[in-house]
Amino acid sequence: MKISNILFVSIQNILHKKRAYFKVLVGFFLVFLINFTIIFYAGSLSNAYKAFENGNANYAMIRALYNFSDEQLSELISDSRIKSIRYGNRQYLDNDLDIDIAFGKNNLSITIEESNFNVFYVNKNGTVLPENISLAFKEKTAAEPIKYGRNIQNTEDVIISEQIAESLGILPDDIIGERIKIVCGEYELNGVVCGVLDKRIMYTYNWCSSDIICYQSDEIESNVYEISLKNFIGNEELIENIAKMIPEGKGVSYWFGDYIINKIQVVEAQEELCSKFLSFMSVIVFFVMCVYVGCNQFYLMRKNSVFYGLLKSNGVSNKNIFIIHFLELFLLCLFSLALGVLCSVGILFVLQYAMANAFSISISFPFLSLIWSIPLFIFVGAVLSCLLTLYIYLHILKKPPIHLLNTGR
Amino acid sequence: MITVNNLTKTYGKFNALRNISLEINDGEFVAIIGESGSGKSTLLNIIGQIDFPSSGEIIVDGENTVGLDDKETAKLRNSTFGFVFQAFYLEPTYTVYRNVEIPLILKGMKRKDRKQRIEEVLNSVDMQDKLKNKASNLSGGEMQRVAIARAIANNPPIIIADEPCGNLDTKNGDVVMRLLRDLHEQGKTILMVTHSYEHSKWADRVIKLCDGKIVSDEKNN
Repeated sequence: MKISNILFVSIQNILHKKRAYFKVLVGFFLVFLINFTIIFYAGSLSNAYKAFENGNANYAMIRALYNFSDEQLSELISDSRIKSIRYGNRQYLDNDLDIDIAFGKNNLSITIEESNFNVFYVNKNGTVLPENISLAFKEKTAAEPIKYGRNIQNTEDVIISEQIAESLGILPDDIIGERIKIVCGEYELNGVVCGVLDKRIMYTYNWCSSDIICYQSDEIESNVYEISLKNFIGNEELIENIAKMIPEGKGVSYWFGDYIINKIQVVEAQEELCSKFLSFMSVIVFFVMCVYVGCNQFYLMRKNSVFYGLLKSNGVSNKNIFIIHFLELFLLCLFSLALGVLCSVGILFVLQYAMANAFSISISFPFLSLIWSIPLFIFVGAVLSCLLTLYIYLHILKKPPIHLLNTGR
Repeated sequence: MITVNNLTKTYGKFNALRNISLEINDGEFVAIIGESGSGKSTLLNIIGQIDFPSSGEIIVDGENTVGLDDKETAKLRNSTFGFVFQAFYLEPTYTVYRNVEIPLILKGMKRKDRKQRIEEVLNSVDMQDKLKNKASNLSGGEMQRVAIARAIANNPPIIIADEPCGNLDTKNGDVVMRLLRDLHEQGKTILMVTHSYEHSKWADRVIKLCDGKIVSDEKNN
């Protein structure tokens, strides 16, 4: 018996039962659509969260700043002195900006034009980054300070961190009152250490009156950074850039005037929770989908039991019936899968567009989710189709058609 | 000619057929009767190559069918047997024409020849006027007539009929039996399972089964 004849009869059968097949197709499609949308959205949030973690997203910050009143915001953006902030090795600084402040995981970088400081990098170990910038100070035992550069203009009191003091092999108390010279490129600060902050990293820059404080506080949580925005007046670009300096995985409190905004922590937690919840949901929906696909395969099998019985009683071998049933199910799965993926991608793009317009939030497309989920679904579809077809083959087709037919209407 | 030798069929510990031996000659009309669970349908299915025996042999036209593989069995089913079932088993969404067409397509018959053959067989069961009707719109008697037309479409020499009148009233039952009788007179071998002694009277020979054994094998007068 020619396989083309069997295929022809099978295609005719599908056309005759197009409503049943269409119902299954729509069901498959909806399940795939919901599942993929959830997976993609979870992937998007996850990406956003990762980007947020990397200090590369302003997502959470903007969300937090939306809670500022108009007066607060206008006050915040009225100071044009501070224009950009950068984080870690990422460059958000334009050369002509007045002040550049960057909080890295281990380093702080500030550029303040008025104070003749071009760049100032210090990490917790007292190492200065990058190569062309160095930190020099007058060691207690050193006869001469190491000198770099020129234009010694200011002599200010400087508070340094205990960590820096320790890294220099100096007890905190010993260094107080000592003169240190911080040299950055061709500029330097010549100051007297007036204090060491216990268990904190504190940098004060009174010379520019910006009163910018960033410190890691043990009093709150070791991984919580607090950034005071008191007198830290910038513009919208600044606000966005502040988000970029959010330390990795840390909750951040923002002080603004008398207000303390702790939203970031909440937002961050919400994002993370949301992402985890959606990932969990996608797993649940995935299993629901498996059950649904399985049930639909049984539905089709029952719908076609008379047809298969007729094929068998008219001389079609069990193997060929097996192949046809498998092909039908698998192609149905693939077709609905393709439709589902396309539509969920479309939905996600619409979501992205809407969010970008409404909230200035950018969500990157989770290509990774797409890459791993499609083969997974194809695999699951194939395995389910195989298992159910095998079940039919072993338990029904091997029996007389009366058994097969009795599973029908 | 069909020869059955020492045929046994067991389902677990249950013996559906026990050492059945019989011969069915070409052109015979045989009715197999017996109570429910006596093994008559099982015997019919095994002879029709739809089920497999646990032991024994079935020889169809000189060929021992035991040991044939799936493909060979399917081929034998296609070329030798036509099936009629109690519940008709027509595809309800198909038209009468399409239902009868399936075995012809599977056989590879050309469209034009198919059309001619379908009209021919539907004519023989007096259903030529309803070939465009959906199967679900037919009465029970009409459905069974279409099922018979489908069974004979490929012109098989043996018709296997499992309770062909089981779902029909007396009048329609008689119509179906008359059709089977006509087929027999045309030279077909008819193997029919029935509960009804009345219907068994249409056959040349009546085999009675009880608990998987043949308890009587008599010719009808």
